[in-house]
Amino acid sequence: MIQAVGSVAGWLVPIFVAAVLLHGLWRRVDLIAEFVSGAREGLQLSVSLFPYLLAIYVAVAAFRMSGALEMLSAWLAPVLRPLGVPAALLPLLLVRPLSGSASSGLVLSLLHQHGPDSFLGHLVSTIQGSSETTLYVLTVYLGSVGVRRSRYALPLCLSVDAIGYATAIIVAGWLWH
Amino acid sequence: MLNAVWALLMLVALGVGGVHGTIDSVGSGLFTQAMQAAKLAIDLAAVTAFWFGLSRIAEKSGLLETLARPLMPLLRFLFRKLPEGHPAFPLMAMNLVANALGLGSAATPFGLKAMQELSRAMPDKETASDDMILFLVLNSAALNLLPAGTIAMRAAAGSLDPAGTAVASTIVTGVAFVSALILHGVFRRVARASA
Repeated sequence: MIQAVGSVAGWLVPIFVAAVLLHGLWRRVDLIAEFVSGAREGLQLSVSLFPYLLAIYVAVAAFRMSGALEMLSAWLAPVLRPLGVPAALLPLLLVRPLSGSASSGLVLSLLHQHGPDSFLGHLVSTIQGSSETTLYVLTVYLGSVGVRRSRYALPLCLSVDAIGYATAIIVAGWLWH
Repeated sequence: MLNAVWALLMLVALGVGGVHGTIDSVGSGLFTQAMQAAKLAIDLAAVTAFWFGLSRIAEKSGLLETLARPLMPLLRFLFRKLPEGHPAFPLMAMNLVANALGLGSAATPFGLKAMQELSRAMPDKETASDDMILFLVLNSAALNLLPAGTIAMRAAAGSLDPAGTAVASTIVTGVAFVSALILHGVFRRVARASA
């Protein structure tokens, strides 16, 4: 099963690349010229995105390293435990929308600490596999087109994240408790 | 809003660092993390440039539109205000497909190009449109059929069943996707009423 999933994922990209090139040849597209001009556009965009990436990255790292994340988790634990949210899960829930690398790191350490096939291991895997780094996506996507007023984007996306986390806790409770 | 969140994160970090005696690691961490961000950005730039190059070929050959076709009825229903044949449609479709297959690095370039196309038609370039926000929330709900990164992490941690949470993740993203649609309708109405 794992090998099957792994090899499907491994084949997807090469097949897609081959399909694009063959279809381009068939339609007589000037492959290298179009590739280069598209890549140049991608590079220019990446350069203009870097300041946003930097802003998010540094702020999230500072928040974690100062101990503020642990403090916030400790405050929220008594409120959320009656709702069925394990205390060990809180740092992940707080960091997940902010930083992909930080939440991957947390998931790895939780998997090692509690075992990947424990209830908590299954739960954090479900959450990691079903959510996005919302704040990062919002900042980069809106920043890339110069939008300053995001209106209701952030509260909406964070509400959807919260629904996702709650659903993950319920589904994990059904399947593995 | 994003402005306030960013300021809050930074100021709370510096304040807590000062009170807790962790200010040294916060101070030096700012710069090591800035360098980390630069390294990440170079990797990202390379991948983004590659996918932008490839997607330009797919766009010119017409492959992009062919691939996006199965998703078009859904997208046309969701983005009713966009005129038919709008260039954002195939890009949004490719973004959602790449996300669903767990190809995050391919999804982002398509998403960014879709944002450019959505922005082109807007009278006020500095304010997010309803369509932009809908696209963003669909993105953050991230309908996912193959959480490849998570499977790899579970395997690395010695799980007997690394892919065992894939179905649960898919159920969760399905619920998130539907609630994203519903909540977008609610938020949009509230925003309009209070504007």
